Amino acid sequence: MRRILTGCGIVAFLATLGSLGFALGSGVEVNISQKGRAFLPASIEITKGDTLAIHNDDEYIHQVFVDSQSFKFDSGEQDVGQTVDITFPAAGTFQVLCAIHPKMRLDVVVK
Amino acid sequence: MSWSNSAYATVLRPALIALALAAAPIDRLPAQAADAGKAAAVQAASLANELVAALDRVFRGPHPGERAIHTKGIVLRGTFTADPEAMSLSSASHLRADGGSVPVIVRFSDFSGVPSQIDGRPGTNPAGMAIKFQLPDGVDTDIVAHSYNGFPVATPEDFLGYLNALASSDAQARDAFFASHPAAKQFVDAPKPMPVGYGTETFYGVDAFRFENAAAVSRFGRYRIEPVAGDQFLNESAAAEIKPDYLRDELRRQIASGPVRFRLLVQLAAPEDAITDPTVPWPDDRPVVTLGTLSLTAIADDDSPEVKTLFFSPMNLVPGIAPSADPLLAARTRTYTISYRRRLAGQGGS
Repeated sequence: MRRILTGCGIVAFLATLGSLGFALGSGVEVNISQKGRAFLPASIEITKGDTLAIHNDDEYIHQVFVDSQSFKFDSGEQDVGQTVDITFPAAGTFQVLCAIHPKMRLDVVVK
Repeated sequence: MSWSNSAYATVLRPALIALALAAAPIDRLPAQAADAGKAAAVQAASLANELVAALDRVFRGPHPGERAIHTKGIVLRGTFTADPEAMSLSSASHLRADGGSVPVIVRFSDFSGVPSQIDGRPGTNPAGMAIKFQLPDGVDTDIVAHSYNGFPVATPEDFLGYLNALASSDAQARDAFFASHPAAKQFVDAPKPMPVGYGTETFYGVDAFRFENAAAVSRFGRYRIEPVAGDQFLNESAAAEIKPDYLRDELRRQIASGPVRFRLLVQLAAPEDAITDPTVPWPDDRPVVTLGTLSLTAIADDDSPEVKTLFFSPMNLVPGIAPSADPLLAARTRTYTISYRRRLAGQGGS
């Protein structure tokens, strides 16, 4: 799992805002790659409020979706090179799938 | 200390957006657009579920273990051989004339979502034809077409309205929908003659795609799949005599006496043609490029795992072919996916 913080300056800025009592959310961004018609990695554990940044590193278009009782999401057409962000609103276990390629599956545990 | 709404709106929010823009890679949306995108993503997911539910209402489903639409069908195997002209349009690997033949799986189907659909009765047409090109390394790419040159509506929302109108017992509401959607009315009212067999009618991929060749020259086009035997339809007396499964029976008979062949073509758009609206057929005088020939040689085993798990999507593409901005492409794909997953789970369910 690779977590990205977008730079020390941003962290400092957010910390300042936090000290001012302004809620910005505590999530971090977690990178997922799509390559060879598969999600890499194929499973991941994150914290509520984190955002999955799903990068289409493939040579095919994809269409990412989540269809659970508590959360539904559909990216529509995801072009080659495009990134789709998914922020999970609640804890639980979710499947991120591709509408075009049925064998693609990413298991997400949100704590 | 807390921020007032006006201070937030005038000072902090712009600063945050500027910060997000500065930090975001160029293929990411700015914050406001991203929020709108997330809302649209949630809405699209819900719409797809509503579309499948509407199909169930139209066809009295769900029917366990079955597709939500184009339920009754037959699967064949064969090959596709590209024409030299194809490379002028697209660099896709299966369209290379020097690449030899590519294995294909083709599924023909009646229109309705009723598993016991009787051939010849309303719900048979427009018939469906879905093609899967089986490329090296487990990659495949699909074409999804039907035997009518057009689609009843232009947007996913109108597709839901169309299905709801079909399912409605309220004649006034149904009439109001068709009065305000002339393409849908034309789709319903158009003559739908019975073909001699699935192998004797033309199929149309109603959505436009962007084809790009090796020189990076792009053209928009729509698939057209013409039977080599020519279009042949039953006359009235012959149509009155057909048996409930005659379309599958006729295909089995044809295959037994030789391959069933189709020419795969692409009709090219002129600059003034509607790219994102599949309700509008393009004029017949538009140029047509020959991509190659499909030769269907065998009936597939319906019980094989490969056939049981078949899934076709108009968005299952390879480099050299890209979708247009037609919003129905993604909506149809999601709808088919819901139906597919439900089918595999035995819950009914393209």
